[in-house]
Amino acid sequence: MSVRVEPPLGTAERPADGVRVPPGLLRRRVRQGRRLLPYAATFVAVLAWLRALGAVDWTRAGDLGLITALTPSYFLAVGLLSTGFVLALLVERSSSRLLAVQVLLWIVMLHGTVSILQPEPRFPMAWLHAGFTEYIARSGATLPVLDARFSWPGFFSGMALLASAAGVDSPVAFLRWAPVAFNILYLIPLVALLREVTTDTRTRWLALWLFYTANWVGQDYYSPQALVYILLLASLLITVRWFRPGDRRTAYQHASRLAPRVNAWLLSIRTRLPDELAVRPAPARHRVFLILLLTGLLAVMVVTHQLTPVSLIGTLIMLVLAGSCRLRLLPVILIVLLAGWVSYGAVAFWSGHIDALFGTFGQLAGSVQRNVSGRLDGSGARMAVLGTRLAFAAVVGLLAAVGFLCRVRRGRGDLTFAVLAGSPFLVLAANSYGGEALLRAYFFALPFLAFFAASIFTGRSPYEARALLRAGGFLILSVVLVPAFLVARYGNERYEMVTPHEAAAFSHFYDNAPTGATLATVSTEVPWRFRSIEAHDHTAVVDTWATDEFRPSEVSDLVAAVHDLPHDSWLVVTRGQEAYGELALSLPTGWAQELTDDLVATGRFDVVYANEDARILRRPSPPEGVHYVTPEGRQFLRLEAGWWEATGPHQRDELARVYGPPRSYAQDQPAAQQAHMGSIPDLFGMGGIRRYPDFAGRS
Amino acid sequence: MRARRWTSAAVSALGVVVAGLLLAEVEGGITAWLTAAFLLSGPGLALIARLRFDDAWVEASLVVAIGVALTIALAQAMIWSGQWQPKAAVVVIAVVTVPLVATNCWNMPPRRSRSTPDTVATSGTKR
Repeated sequence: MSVRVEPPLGTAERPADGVRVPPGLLRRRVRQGRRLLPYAATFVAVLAWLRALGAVDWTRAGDLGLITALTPSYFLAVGLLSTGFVLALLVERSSSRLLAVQVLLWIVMLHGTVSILQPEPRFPMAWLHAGFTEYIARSGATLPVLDARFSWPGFFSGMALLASAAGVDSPVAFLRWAPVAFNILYLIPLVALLREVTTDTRTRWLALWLFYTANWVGQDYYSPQALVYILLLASLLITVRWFRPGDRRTAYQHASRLAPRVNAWLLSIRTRLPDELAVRPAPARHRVFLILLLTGLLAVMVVTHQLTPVSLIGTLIMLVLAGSCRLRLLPVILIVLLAGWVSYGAVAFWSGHIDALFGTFGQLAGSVQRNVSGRLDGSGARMAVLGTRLAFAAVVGLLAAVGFLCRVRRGRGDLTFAVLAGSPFLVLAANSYGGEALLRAYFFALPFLAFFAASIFTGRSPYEARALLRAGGFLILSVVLVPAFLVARYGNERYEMVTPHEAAAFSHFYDNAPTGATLATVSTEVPWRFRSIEAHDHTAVVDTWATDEFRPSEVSDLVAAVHDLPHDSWLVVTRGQEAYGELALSLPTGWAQELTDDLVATGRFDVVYANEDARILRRPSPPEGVHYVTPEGRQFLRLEAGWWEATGPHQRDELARVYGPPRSYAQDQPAAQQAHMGSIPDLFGMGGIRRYPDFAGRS
Repeated sequence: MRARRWTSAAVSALGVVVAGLLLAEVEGGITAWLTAAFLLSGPGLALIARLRFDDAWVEASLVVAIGVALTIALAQAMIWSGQWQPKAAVVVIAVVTVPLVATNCWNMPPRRSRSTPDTVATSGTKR
């Protein structure tokens, strides 16, 4: 299976004058010393990382994100750990326990450092998911009319069960360590899957290492897709381990009846690209259980996440077509489950989003454009981050392609894993998923891409120099990929991190705002909606998820956009929004201060809260008044200070919204005639409502 | 075999601890993480321990997947039925699961030989 690498040259003993050294003793001692090198490198790496944790000021993350705030100690730590791993795996063949510890440390260093450094959980979307969880934990129900994601409530309800049972005050407590927990949980099915494709332990370990290094997509936060990924890997494991056809020829029996030429073609491919490992058919006593379990996992996936089952349908169909899955009805079962759930549980979503669901079906080129060039927008630094992500994905894909060819040359095509690596990208043809489908497809394919990429570095060679060259090549790759990972994964840290002051500002709103008050922000990059989601309206001026996204280019555009926020709106402007405006919207530096100053100057907003990173402006409640309609159909608002007429339909709607349905003027005429005239500020800021000084006289 | 027994014993103990914490109304982060660990390991282990899969990693993968799926399914069932009782649900899971898992500590059939039909290879390389 593997070739023992001899110790490097130049380690022969050289006895000191007058000292007699037994033959081979020095060589043995040198060899023993060399065996300690991986342990020493790992130990020093941990020390350097701990030192870095104490020295990093995470708040100084610049336009390229976290990488600009990290100290040299951090890079020393990841370099030393990479060196220790390569020494342990490719040179010294250390124990698997050391390798497991190194992989766990790698996970923590890459995916957990931020969790340790930052006191508040990062990534605003995770806070929103905590709000969904909090609602279910509090009410024991979902609320699909409020948000489409409630139509796929599996994750939120499961976490609500946990939070509610354990009496956790707020699910926000789960957010901080979720990425580390999910990545460690992924390790189990990943190892199991890799054991199904190759007996070479080096390839498995390298594939694991590459998976965690290349997993920059950031889908491992507190989210449905992060949890469903475990179910996805487990489903693929069951399919690949127990339900591959045992005989190449029987794999295409179903095709031979329909199209003998296609069957012959598929058979020739499969013969040229055999899987390295034999199938292990499930014994009869397991088969029924496994099929039921597989169906159950698919059902839970369907009620938990929108995209994962769609991607899995494509994968299962391709596995069946490639003769790698004997359960030919499995894709049909999944389609029926998905259709059933969408027809029953997700009506609230699709009834208003038919175009979003099927509008891009089959438009592969357009979908790729939306997922690639459509995302390249913003300042130079943001373009650099987005470019790094695309380049990273391209490099991983290229390495996987080279690795696949290497294995074909060695007579191991691994068609099953090649299908698993390629088929997730079919989802691009189904839906652009708001420009995120490519990222998700990359995430789904990553374990298998990593396996093929790892195969480059583990070929059998009788030459020690070639083995050392491969070890050196992997070390260089690992060390080079880490900065790229940091930029790709944490490049948006300026607006994806959450400071305690920002969290405090939003807590202030939820603690003090009356029910029904509107919480407004400039962008959605804020830690909001983490509690009481049904008690308030939430609106963002720049909603990146809206199909007709508003793109302000100047502060005056923003002033105009928030000028007419309804009464009792609370506008929260934070450091994170300011960073997002600069990086993604190319707004001028300091735009947030300018915006708040301009709004306060209009007299419509008051600053009700401010700290280092956030300001809250509030538009006061409307004055007490009565909404009237005359027998002629004219509508008026009577305030203590005078009469106002709503002259347009929009203004009438606004009066009805604020003051309720109009009352008949004739019934209240005496009271109306007693009203006195006075001067009040512009009530609605709309030209359609005008003061009517002599209303009583005219009537 | 010994590892499997230790695992069963540890998960059983975890289930008892979690049930005890919930009944004693000890609330907070530690209880949440312990409950999560139990939900991820207990129900799955109770279901598949007797099936005797011959690969610990495969077994662990299925245990975790079953734990996730059962938790979600149970939560959804409570929502749909309008009976939202999370604490009672976890305690019931512990009461049902712990005896099933605990019996694995002393009542384990011997591991089957690798030459059984379970491992017959019909193509490719034998592992």
